Amino acid sequence: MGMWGIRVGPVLGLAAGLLLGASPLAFAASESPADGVYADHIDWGVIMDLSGPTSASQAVWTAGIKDYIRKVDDAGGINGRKINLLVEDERFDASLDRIAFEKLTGQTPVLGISGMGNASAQVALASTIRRGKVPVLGSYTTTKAVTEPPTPMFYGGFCGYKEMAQVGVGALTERLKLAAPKVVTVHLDTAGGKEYADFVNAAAMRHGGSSKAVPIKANAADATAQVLEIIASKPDFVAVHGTATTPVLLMRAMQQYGLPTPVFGMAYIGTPIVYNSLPPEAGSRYSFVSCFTPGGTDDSAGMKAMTESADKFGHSAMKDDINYVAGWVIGQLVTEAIAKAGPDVTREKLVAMLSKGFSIDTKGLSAPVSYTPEDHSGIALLKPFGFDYATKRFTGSGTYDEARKYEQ
Amino acid sequence: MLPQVLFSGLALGSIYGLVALGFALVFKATDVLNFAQGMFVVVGAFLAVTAGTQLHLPFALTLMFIVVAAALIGAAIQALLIRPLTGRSMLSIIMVTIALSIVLRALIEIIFGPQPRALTTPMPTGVFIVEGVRISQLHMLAAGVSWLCLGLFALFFRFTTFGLQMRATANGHEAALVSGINVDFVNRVAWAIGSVLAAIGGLFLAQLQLASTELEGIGLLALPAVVIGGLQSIPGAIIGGLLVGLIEQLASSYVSPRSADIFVYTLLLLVLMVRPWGLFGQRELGRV
Amino acid sequence: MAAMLEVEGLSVGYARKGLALDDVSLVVPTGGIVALLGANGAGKTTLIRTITGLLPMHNGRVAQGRVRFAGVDITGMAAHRLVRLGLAQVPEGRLIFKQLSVEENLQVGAAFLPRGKVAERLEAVFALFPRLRERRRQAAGLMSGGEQQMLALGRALIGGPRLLLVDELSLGLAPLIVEAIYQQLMSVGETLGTAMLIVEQNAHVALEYAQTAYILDRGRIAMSGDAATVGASSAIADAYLGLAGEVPADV
Repeated sequence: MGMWGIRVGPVLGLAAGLLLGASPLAFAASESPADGVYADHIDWGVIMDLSGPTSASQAVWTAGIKDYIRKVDDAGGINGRKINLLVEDERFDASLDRIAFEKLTGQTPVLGISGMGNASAQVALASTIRRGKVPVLGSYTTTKAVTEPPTPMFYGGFCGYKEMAQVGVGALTERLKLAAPKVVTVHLDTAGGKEYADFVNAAAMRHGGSSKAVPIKANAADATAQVLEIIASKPDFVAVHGTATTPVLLMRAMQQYGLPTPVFGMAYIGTPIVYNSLPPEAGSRYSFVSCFTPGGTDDSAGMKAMTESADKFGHSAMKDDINYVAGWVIGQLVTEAIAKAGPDVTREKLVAMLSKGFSIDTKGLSAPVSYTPEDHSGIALLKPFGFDYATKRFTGSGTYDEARKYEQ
Repeated sequence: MLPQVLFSGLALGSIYGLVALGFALVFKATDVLNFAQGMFVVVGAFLAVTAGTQLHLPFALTLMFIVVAAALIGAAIQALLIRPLTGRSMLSIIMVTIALSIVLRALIEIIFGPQPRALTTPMPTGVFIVEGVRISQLHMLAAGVSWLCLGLFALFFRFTTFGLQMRATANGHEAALVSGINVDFVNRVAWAIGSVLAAIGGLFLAQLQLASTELEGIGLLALPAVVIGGLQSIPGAIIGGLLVGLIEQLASSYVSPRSADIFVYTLLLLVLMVRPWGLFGQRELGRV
Repeated sequence: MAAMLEVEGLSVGYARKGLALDDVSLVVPTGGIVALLGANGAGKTTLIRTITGLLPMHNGRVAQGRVRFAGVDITGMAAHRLVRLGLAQVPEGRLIFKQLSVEENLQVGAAFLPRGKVAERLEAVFALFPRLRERRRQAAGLMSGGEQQMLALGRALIGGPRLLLVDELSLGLAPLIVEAIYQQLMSVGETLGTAMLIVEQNAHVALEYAQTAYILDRGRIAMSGDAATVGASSAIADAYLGLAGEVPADV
């Protein structure tokens, strides 16, 4: 098969081992076209926003998963089958999510689906997902509708809102040495945004402080009203929920009004775009919490493997974006899950394997990714990150495990 | 809190007034309600991105580039789209301007991508703090430049022959033709000026915020501004812009950011019901 | 006498309608005063629009024929260029700029003149119509009908035209005022040698001042000749009432 000449990474080693052990079976396995499994390839679905308002982060995530899958395919695939990603652009429009979901479950069937970064669409599709046969593995956002109670059909793939709020509030309270943090949460006026504001409020109260929620429109072009609210409330720091545009809009307006208040964002918006769109004096007041380590932050084995591939596939610039890292990690999650489900994998076998509990080792690229029969959220630990304008590198503080102290 | 909100409202309102002046000018001179005026604001913002961020032109050249390019775009649109429709119903011309705004949005998204761009210019970003009120230098500059433009145009209309011809054309098309005015040329200049005013608004909005197609919504606040002020009235457009800015910031701060539109358009509705010719328009000309 | 305005075999139609003018020919001699008579809808306004370049604005087009002004073919020429050539008009309904002041109205009419000449021409118009000088700062829309008509006339004359087209000047004005304005118009014609084409529904007034007259009836020239002959003919009654032998009461 010629794959022995290629340098194999740890993941591929696992896949290759499985392949070797099971090769007679693999070639005998019948095709399951209804499950997206064919003799030479497996179809896997991705539903993400590639050209809509959140495409700045979701398209980067999609590049990450594509690159990981390409790395695996270049090395021969899994059990002799290449992974073929069918990517549907939902343009952050829930109605397009439904169409894409139905297409991938029936018309051009896939073994499983990743992504689904539109929270409202996820809530709307929750009962369809729960009742259906296609597992969602490695979602870009995780809503209560699909995790409480857990269903064998859904496995999250991103840091949770609650943990992001807790670690963000905890870390800033500690760094600023606050006795009772006073927080303003600027959030999109969506269900997810309000949920995040509630989590921030709960975290602030746990530290003896308080918070005020200030909504902003998803397509806002002006954050003056929010800044006036911050001027009036005089918070110790500001928490932001939104798209990459939100912290940029907010912090530019804060700078114009001379507000030096520190701001922290959720993982999604800890991206180079945000820092590059802000002058250093404003950007250095911005930090974020993440369960994924942005490229260039450290020298872990996982980081080295990702950097090598990203450079090879022409995505060197993207690897500093945690969204790329997140996509990459989900690529690993998907391929290792398919491999573990066995050579004659079907949707049913994959779900049976996952529901018993499953985890992967990202070798330092992220907080641990692991599922138990009781908890399908996947990634629980995060840590704070910042950006050093002098070296143009992201800086992490502490370890993912240390941040555990901020979580309840 | 109140002085702070009033400052922001007046500063943003000045920019709206500038954009609204462009809208009113085009309407007065050519009888066209230009629903693409909001998109002209976006065009201005992305012209600034092109010149400043992509071509790395010095700021003075960036300004010249924006003004010249916006004027050419406005004039070209008048020559290619509006002029051939002379004599058609107002509705069909409005439809053309709506179609134009959709095409411009698509073009911008194809060229620059759907994501907002951050504009960085040497314009000041600091703040003066006067008795607890934070006076943003950029807002001050934006308001100052807006008022300077408004003043210059007032002088131009009042004291130049071409300004007089523009006012005459606005007063009556056929009368202007009969009096020897090159109405077509006047119209083209009106579109160029309308486009330049929107582009200057776009430059400031992009620097205050971000260059994105969402600025269209802010640009279209020119519409309630001119209707409230009086469609036929140049000072009305400016005061309408200030009012919209004030109402927007007051409603956002004291009620909720989402309520701003409700208050602005409620006032619009009230004006249309009680005084359809606008606060500063003239009764006999109050066609809406 | 050389012709100031020559209309030759002119046929004009509007979009999706029949011909409004059918093979119309007409001559205004240099310095001459010509009356164009006819009932409503006879085609007088179309003829004026064709001569003054306003036809495209009303979706009309020249099917055949041509218009010459001082020997130059001006068929289809833009309205503002004609004014600069010296072809001015006092349009029906006056079309003054109501929101501008009296003086501004006149300045618009003089806009194409060299800057130095404007003041001098303004004085000349004020000398002709002293009422306009009294009201120079007033918004034109606030003046009486007669004063507005004077303003429209002043605006047309300020550029020093060689040919003046006067369309329905008497409309809505008291007979005494009409009389006064025509008197002033005639004195302008005599002193400056301006040729005039006077379009009137009120044939009586027009024939009083014109040397020659044309009668337009349903798009065709029904009769032409010197003013006295035309006035006495039965064609005038035909044109206005469609009845032979009867003369309208005001003729």
